[in-house]
Amino acid sequence: MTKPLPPHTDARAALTAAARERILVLDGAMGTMIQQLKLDEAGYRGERFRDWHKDVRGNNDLLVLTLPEAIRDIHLEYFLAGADICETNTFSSTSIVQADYGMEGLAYELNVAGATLAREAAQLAFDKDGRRRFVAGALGPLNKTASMSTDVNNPGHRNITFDQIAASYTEAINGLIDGGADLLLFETITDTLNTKAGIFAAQRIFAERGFELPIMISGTITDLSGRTLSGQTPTAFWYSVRHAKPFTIGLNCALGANAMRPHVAELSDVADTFICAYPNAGLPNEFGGYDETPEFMARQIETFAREGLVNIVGGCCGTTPDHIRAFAEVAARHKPRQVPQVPRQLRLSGLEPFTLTPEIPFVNVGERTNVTGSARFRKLITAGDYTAALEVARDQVQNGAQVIDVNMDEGLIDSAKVMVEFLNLLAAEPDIARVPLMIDSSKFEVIEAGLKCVQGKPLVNSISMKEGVDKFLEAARLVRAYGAAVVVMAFDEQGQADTQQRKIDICSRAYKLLTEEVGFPPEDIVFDPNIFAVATGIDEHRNYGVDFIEATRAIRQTLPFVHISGGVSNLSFSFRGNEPVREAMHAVFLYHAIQAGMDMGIVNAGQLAVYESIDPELREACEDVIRNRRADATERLLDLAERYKGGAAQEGKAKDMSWREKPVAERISHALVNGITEFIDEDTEAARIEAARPLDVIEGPLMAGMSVVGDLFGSGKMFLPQVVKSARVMKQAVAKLLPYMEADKDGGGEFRSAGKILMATVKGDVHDIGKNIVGVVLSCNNYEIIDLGVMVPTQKILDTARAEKVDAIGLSGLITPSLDEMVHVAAEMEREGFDIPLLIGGATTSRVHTAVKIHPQYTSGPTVHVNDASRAVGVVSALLSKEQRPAYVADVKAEYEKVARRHAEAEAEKQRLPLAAARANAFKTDWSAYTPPKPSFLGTRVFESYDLNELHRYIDWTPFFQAWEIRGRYPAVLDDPERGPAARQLWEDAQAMLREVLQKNWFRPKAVIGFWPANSVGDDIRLYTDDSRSEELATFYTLRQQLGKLKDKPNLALADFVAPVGTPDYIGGFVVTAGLEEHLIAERFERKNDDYSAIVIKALADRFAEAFAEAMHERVRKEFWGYAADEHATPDELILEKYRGIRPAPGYPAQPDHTEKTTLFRLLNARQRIGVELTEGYAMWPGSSVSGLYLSHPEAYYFGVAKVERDQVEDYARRKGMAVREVERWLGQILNYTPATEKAS
Amino acid sequence: MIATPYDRTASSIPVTVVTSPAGLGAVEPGARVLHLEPALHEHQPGSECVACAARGDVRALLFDLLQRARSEQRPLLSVVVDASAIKDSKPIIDRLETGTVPAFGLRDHTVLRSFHLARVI
Repeated sequence: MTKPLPPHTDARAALTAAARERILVLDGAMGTMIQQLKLDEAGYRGERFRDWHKDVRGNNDLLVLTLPEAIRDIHLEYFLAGADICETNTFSSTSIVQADYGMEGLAYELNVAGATLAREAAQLAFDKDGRRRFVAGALGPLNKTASMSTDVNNPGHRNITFDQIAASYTEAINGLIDGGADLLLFETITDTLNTKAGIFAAQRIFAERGFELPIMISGTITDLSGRTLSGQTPTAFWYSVRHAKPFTIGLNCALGANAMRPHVAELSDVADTFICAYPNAGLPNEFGGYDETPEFMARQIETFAREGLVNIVGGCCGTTPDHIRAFAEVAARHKPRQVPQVPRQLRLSGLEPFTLTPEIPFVNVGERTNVTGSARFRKLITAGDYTAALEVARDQVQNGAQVIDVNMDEGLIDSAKVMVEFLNLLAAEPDIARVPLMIDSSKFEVIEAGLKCVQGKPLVNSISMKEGVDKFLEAARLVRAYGAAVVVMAFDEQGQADTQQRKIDICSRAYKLLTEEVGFPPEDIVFDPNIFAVATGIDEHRNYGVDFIEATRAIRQTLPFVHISGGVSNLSFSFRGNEPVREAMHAVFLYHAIQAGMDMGIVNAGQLAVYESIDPELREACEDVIRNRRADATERLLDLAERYKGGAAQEGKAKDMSWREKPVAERISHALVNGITEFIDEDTEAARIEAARPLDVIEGPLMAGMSVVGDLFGSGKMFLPQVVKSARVMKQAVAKLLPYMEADKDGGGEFRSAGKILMATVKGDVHDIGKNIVGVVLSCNNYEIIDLGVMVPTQKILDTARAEKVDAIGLSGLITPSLDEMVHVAAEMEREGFDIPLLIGGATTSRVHTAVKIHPQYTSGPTVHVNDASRAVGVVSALLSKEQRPAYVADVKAEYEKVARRHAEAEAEKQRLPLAAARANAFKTDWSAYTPPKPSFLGTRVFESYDLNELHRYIDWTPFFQAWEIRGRYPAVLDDPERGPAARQLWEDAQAMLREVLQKNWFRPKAVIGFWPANSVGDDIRLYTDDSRSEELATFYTLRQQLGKLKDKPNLALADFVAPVGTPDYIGGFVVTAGLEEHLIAERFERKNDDYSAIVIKALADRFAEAFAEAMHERVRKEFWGYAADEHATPDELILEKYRGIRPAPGYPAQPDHTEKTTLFRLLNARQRIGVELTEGYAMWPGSSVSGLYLSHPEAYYFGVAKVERDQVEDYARRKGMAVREVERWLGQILNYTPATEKAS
Repeated sequence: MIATPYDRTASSIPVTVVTSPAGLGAVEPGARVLHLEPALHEHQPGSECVACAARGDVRALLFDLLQRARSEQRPLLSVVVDASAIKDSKPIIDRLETGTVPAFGLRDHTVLRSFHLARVI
């Protein structure tokens, strides 16, 4: 008698112990093995189903009944090939799938038989070698989905419900358990909601039976973009099913191992459980077979193992026992993945994940899709206008709501039904469904109906002890079973908690019950300690603000990991109708509540005032009321509130409106000069009615007004931002007239512009602020602008120029590789026979470069460097005027030749050292007397949705003004006698925009930083995989100054600041971005003919990116690298770089080689982690991004490499493994010699 | 006052299906071109095969194009589907015109919200 396998009910401990020891092996494909049996219809039917009324060939699961020995043999073959776990042949054995064959009545039997056979095989294998094998009860996907409609015309339709799925899985799971399965495996998951129903069923069964089997969960990524069929990212999928506390999470099937790797890596990073991966043997070929051999796949699986991504590996479609044998060999050679510790944080998901990290001080829960909070939404819902209702939801997400609250508690509608309909429709809208939902109702049945519709991990709002502890616990258990987090109201049998102590007591009691009796994770609990109205005139209400704030503080201190939320609008209930006062009260309240620990709130994100920007008198009055600081606080606020009624506009100085009394032409001129758009539509209309033809309005008052603007600008009385605002007025007026002009075309002739100018940022570059400013200035001087945008290939520029018969081409670029691209465009213009003027502009362009490099390439037409908008009009008008052009072009030509000659002479005079001599004069320090600091972590860390308010104070405003050609340091420039007024107006507009940016979270700044062990080796910085420094990770190559210098100054290279081998040193790297949103927002402004705002927003995004780099560097110094923990630099000192350590960027003076960014981006995986990528010209996209290295040496400082000699270029190319010619191409601007390629051409 | 840019205008990207190689000549410059390859296997309507989807399911490919354009923040103004390698273009046109072929995943809803069939050449 052989020893029986241990009982299936104790598999968890054995599996867990084994999975910690080694990488376990799952079996391979069943279908592929069955195919080899070459069964016909009769073979499938066997004796029992000989007369079945439907064809059953292809119903592989049926074979557990009709050909059991064959199935058992396949299992045994896999076990003997090295599998620790075999899957039962029950992939399709649910009543739902079996209905296709009319066999839904057999589902339970199929599962029992399937598990029994696999267990028999496990016993046989155990008898043979004494090694315990395990049986995973396979639960495959369904052919129906609960979270999606199959009808594209009816996205709210569902062909199955959560309850039907749960019932079908219940039957299957009972069969698997009764047949002796050791674990349950939900696999090939295409719809997360189906699986949530399966998990729900499994947990019910476990509770009934009194024991739990480990659950394995395996999704499928079929889209190239890396999402499940139901649209979730891998992390969002994980958060949705994490409540099952699965033994493994992972992926199977789909596009093969290579395509699976990044998604497995993502799960491996975020999942605090074991990871299981079992890919296909590639994609099915045209015969339906699979081509990847055991050896080929084993190599790919080995990559998973080597990178520490997996705990269990196996095969899906197309894999055989030979594959599994090869995988087992690979698995035995590598250590299993270490399950990471994941911080206790609230993790929610929609289609995308959301984690409430400490970097997010406050979560905006959108409140507009709440029928109790929004009259508009209530009207839409009661009228059944779901299309418009979905727009409300979409607006909220676009306005920055991180979670959206859906509430359908309205007496006249069937709340549960409407909740389901709305959520089902919402699920088909990827723009909305990407964020998590808050399912909000006072009726638990409505909440439950909603929970059955969402595949993500939502929040429930709310449950409480109002109806006693039993009901509370029951609701909490259900919320947990549906995988949601929960808001708990401070409410008990006695009523709602009003005082500080009651709030604390009730929340503490609820916390204990939830964590101890239900096993609710504390990080998934959000307490709502009740915000009540203050300033009601009733004495008992006076302390409500303080009660909430202080209770919040106490709860956050005593109940670990919980969160605090509240409905903020209740607070100001007594000031209904007075929005300015309400907004101020909310802002003041949140200011204190957030400090006390409130980290979530149901607020209209679009309507929050910024604390600092509230009128101080009003703010003080609100402070008095909310903090209950004086007895007459309410009366004082009431008095003050009168002044704010009807909007803040009435407050403050009345505007001088006398210009409105003047004739229409003068009104238009006034509006243009002052940039006022408010009345331009009505004034334009008035002028049009007066005029004979609509064109006369443009050629008459509008052009007259613009020529006043032009004169003022030309004489220095107006500044660029003001001109751009004038252009905005002009554009709106023209847009108003256009339809009339179209209609009038036959009778009136067309408007003729002064010339057509094509503008483009060249290929590989994404920066366009300067180009846009020049475009606007030209367009308001009557030039027609064709703006091709950014990253424009040469051919497109030339083709468009020819097709549109443009009069001039303007090129722009900010990064140095763009300079070469401009040279290329010039050469192509020459080759294709152009003779129109070529204008060059952008931050890195220069008169010298234009004269030396671009001008000689294009001899058929004039090339002019125009780097500021103020010169653009003069230059263009001279170039396009028949009379002025010859003389002007001759002047420019003569000047450029002179510049080029002088440049050549000057260069020849400069002394440069041979590389060896420069190295001999490297920076020297006593490394033996210095211990480099070690960073607090090694590897990378990502920061998502970084708080804009936090970054705001790091902004250096001086470059913002420079972008607008207002020179001078901020803040002094605001009081400059000449530029002050323009600067001040620009400043105010920027602040207004900034407030919107902050309130609406327009930007989502992200960062990734990293630290690695590093040492210098000559001029290289070598990075290692870990502190043992045995395996090289990457190398940063640096360039050395070759200028002949004064004796006491070294010839620097960045490598000099990193310790040589022998002294353990480190290096850091970073990429930060203001976010991907900047362009979308700018585009929307542009569509509204508001170029001014478009440029302001881009310039702001730019400032945020720089501020983020500064803020992150500070945290690196104080916290992450921590070598300057007690640094106290003011923002001004930060701008002046008065701190230890530098953050040089590739492409900038200390390392002018842009291609080094490739290494940095690869190390940080910046594209995948935060969506920043490199263009072919090594510009960063999105443009408002900053990257660089972190060096910590106390003597490190910024320097410029300046020009380099051929000896260094050759040495550098050899070190980098690049062709000399390639290096010369990228270092073109700093070569101190003419490269051979250029000479040849 | 600065205007708020978020008034969403319904915008759907036009798709041109080209059924013969000659038609490709008429494609405007700047449009993104998707080349479809014939499916490897026969399938029942509404069933999915990842291998075929990656080669020739116009919805899967348009979704991928859309996701990439979004993540790269590049404008996607028009798309040309080169179906000249496919014998019967009707199933492709059916997939682009709502209702005639069932949605297989959320992506199919996304695609039909984001694109419309503008013309067949």
